[in-house]
Amino acid sequence: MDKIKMFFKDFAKRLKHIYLSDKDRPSMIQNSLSSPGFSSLTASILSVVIGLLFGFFLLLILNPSKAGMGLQRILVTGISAPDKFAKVLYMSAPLIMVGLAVGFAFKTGLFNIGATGQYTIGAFFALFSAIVWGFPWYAAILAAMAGGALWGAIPGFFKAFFNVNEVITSIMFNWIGMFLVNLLCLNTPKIISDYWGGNIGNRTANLAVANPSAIIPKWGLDKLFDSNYMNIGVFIAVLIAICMFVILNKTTFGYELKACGYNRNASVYAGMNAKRSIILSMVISGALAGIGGGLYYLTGIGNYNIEKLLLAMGFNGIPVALLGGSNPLGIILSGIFISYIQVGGEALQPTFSKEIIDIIIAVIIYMSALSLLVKLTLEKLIRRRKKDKILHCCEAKEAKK
Amino acid sequence: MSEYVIEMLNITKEFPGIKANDNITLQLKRGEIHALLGENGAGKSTLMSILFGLYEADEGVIKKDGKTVRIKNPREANALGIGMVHQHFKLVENFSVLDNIILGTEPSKFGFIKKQEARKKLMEISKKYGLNIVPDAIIEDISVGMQQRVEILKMLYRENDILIFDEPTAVLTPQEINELMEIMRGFTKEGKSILFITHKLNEIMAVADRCTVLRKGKWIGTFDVKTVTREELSRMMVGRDVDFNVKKIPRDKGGVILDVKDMTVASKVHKNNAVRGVSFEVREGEIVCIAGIDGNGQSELVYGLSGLEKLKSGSIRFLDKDITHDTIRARSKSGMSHIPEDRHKYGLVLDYTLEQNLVLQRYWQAEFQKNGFIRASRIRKYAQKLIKEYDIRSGQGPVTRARSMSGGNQQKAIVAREIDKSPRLLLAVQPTRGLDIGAVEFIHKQLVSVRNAGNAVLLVSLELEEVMSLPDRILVFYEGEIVAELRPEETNVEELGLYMSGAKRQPQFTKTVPATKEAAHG
Amino acid sequence: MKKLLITVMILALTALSIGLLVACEPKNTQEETYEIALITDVGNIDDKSFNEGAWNGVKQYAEGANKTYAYYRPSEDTTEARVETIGNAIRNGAKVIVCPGYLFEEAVYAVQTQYPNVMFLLLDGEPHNADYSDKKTESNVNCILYKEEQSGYLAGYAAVMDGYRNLGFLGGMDVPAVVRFGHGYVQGAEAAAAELDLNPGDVTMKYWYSGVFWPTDDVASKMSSWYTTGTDVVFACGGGVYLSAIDAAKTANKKMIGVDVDQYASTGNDPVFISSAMKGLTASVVQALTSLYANGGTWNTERAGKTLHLGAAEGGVGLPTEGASWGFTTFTIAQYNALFAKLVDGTIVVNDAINVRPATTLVAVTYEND
Repeated sequence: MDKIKMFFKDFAKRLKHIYLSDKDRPSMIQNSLSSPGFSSLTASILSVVIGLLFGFFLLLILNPSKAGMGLQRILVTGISAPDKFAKVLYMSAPLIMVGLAVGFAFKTGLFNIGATGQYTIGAFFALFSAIVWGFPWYAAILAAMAGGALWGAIPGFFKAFFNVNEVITSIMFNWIGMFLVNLLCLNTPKIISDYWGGNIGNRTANLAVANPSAIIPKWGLDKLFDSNYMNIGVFIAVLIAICMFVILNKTTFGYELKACGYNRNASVYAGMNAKRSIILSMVISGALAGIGGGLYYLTGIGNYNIEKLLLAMGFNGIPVALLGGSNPLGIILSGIFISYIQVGGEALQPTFSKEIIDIIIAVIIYMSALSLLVKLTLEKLIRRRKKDKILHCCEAKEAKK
Repeated sequence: MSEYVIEMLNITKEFPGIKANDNITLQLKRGEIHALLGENGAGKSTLMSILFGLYEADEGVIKKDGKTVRIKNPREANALGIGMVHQHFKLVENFSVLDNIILGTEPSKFGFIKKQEARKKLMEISKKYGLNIVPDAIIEDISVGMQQRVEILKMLYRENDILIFDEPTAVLTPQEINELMEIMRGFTKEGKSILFITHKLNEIMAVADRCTVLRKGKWIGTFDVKTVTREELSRMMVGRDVDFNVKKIPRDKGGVILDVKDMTVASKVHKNNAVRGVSFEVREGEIVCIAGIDGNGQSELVYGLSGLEKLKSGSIRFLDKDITHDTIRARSKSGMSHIPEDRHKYGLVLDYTLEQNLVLQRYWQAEFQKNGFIRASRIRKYAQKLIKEYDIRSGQGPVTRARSMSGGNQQKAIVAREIDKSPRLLLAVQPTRGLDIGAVEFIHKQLVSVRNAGNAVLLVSLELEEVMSLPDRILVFYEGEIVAELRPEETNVEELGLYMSGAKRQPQFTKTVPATKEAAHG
Repeated sequence: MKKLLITVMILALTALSIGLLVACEPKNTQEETYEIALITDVGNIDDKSFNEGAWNGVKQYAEGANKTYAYYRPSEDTTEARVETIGNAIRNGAKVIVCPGYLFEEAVYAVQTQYPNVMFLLLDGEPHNADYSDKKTESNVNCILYKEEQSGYLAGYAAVMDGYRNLGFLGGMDVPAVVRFGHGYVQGAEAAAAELDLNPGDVTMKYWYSGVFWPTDDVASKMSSWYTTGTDVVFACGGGVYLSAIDAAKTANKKMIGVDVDQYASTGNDPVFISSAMKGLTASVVQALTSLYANGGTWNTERAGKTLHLGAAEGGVGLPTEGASWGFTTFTIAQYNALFAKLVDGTIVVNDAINVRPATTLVAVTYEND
């Protein structure tokens, strides 16, 4: 938390510096260059602003008279009422988890595009253990974690031992996972809604009927926010994010994983077990995505729907991770942000149709996820600025002479 | 006509945070060999890149035959007759010699290359200068010396008369170096002018007419080579007196530290083995140097010793223990240190900070972690200690990203890390490659201090000066085998060169696998 | 360069704040409201099924009666999201909310007490809570169920009368609605066989629930084998499952009967459909809204808190008769109208039992799920 505080302090200080200083302070500029946190955060904020601007222009093109209203709704709906805020938190829990999954893999040099598959398997493990075996919610989340970990381990294994690109394997395992879950659901009558008296045969049972103890507790927050969406899932996600931050930055384990990610050869040279690191990275990444699946489906709100589509949630992890700079703490913020504008986007109905809204939100997220590009540009600008300063300085000195 | 064919007057070029060239003047006379001398980072390459059109100067003018010119890209440089042989050759590996030479200036008619014409012209040039070449050979099949010859022919083919050589001798055997010197002298007789970038003083003394010295981006002076001494030049280059003599205290042979028997390591590049049944010992208190031309199995030998590569056969005993199948970590723990040849690929995690890199081999020790949590303050303290002891310079001390450090300081960091482990055996592969004289001197001292403390150093080096000055024993590697064991005080560069090029072999080192050797040639 | 950075930031912030200002100013004065709202179950209003049929009814009524109307799509396929979207619609001024499909049963159960002054029209379902322990329909809710057995009866009767002898029934899952369609289809075929004085076994029927509401390769290969072993027409009943039969039918140059809506029209005039066992979605929505507004904006006693079972008499079922949607050759529209009249006046009663299979003497039914 201190780090966040420092982050903001630092940020404010530097912002002030950029705006207020007209004198030469090369040391300050040097510092801002060297502080990666500063440019990451600035880049993220700037790209969010750019994304919102793009969204606004899109709104202007589509319906000029309603564009202002549209932007306003996107921006304020999330905090306009407690139940809307509850929805923001509800949706951000799985988003943060898949964001962490992708971000953690990024940090350790892997591109886990299989978060969707791990998320789906995690969801199935959670629902199966909850409905068929009657697990309580925390045990079901652990089951989800195990499921996701298993599904992450496989691409990790192939990468480590046969150098098969994890992108390819994990994409294939998205489909394998989805069809496997469908197959298992269809062959487990007890998990399907009709078994419990419903008349809907293509989705999993309602947890409120099948096993109320598997629903993630609300601790009275639902009353406080006046919304069934509210539960402690988001707090679990934030807690896990903080844990990931600590693991990555404060432990020898994280040190090894990152070293292997940044430079596999050097980590081998230093006596680390790179194969183990790769597999563990994917296992952890998968486990995080799996927990995401558990957190979403154990709310008791959604049922797993047997369809031939990959769940979009896993892919949303990629922009969340990019926008959050793959930093677990950044991912908390970006997960909440993306959830926030999605809730805002919903409020554009019926003025804008759902498809249009999806495009607008996608554009905002897409532009926001360009933060890496913005960051690089920003660094370049700062560097050039520094050079200008020095030149300027030299000229001034010569002039004095 | 002006006396100077090329003049670079008051050139200044700045990069973020550094003035690479600060008011430098270089004047090249027609028909002379002009050496450009300076340490790494002195601004030699920048200056030549400006001349070759890769960068544009912030200030200053370039004159050709007394007329001011602007050179915006290499094509324009070519048009002015300026050609350059880069340190790392710019050749298409799977093209033929002829194709490489005409690349970019292909004579063509209606879009079809007129190769016969090009071939005729190339053969004429080749004859004129005595640069024999097989025009249809594929680049990857010919030796490094031949590849350099192709680069030179490329300049001649384009009718360049101002030739820039960027550290041309780094990759050559002593014999090849002598040949190159002859070729260069031949060019000057034809009226061509040569700019010769180097930091090797011997070569300058041997071949150059005049010499310009740069230090830290500044012009120090231009001298007639006949009027200065080696020592003076080095002082000007480094800015202080340099002690070329390494002080080794004489030692009696100690016990065996490393005992290698019939070691064979497979090659990743070709089907044959890179190391073929090699046996040798390294004892306490000695520096053993593996000499040889690059690519003769030295790298694989070290991979095998350090555990990066599995042995195909043979055994390694280290401190009287068989470590043939030990992990890298186990070898490291039992007292082996390794300065790898490629510091970016193996030696450093470039995106880690300096302090994180300094504990790369020790982060797991109780000193630096507790229950799996990193003890950041201890690492900081340790890093500060090493930075001070080994004079590692960087922008922000322990928290500098390794990527942003200079090559010399990156190497110092690795050396510090590996030597501070107090190794019994230090594997040092080209530990001074690309470093300036000051850093070389420092690292040599460190290696000798390891030896003087009764430990052993196995040095792999391509630099002849280093091979001749540093070790107690030299093992010459040729095509994966040891072909000679020499003592530096009993041999000379010429003899060494004969062993390195495979022309000579000591009788006790018989060919072990003649069959595969023949295959390697084919 | 600093200037560029600042300029970008300032520009961005200015644009955003202008957007907000524009947004805030007229907000209170001319916020648009929509009186009649349709919430889609999960798909969109062009799904060629429930959402589209109901939406056409809303549009037809609202444009005629000059009411404002709009549709909303829930953010995800959950009861909670449907409840939330209903809330959004009410915040935008909705007084009547049309909920097409049984997926709304739990959502309507929740909102009927939460918004007692808003009228709900629930098609094809009745409100209940999550665990089915409580079913209740408040007075602000009108539920409409359709007599699927009558619709199926019409299809089966027409097919046999038109000369088809080898029939097939491809159900989705054996949920009550599908079963009623199927049982009605069997009864209709039997009645036609009796009327034509056919011998027992002259008409055969393969009867199968695939267990899915979407196309699968298993179903497709099964349909292929049906068509190649003599089946002439298959009544494909259950969501997207018909997609598994359509290629097999075309390859064998055989026919199909659609379900819920006029599938000949909705598939872009695909001649493989000779007819469709329809539910009168559009008509029943128009009827319900007309009755609602005639009663001053609340449900009348017939509808308030009640479930209407719409059959032939109420225009709730039927086969399409417009133009080429009528794909029969010997069976005429006049014959159909006569039959329809008998359903209306009660001369013909179709058994709606779902747990007892209809008795047949003339049609040889093979239940392939057994």
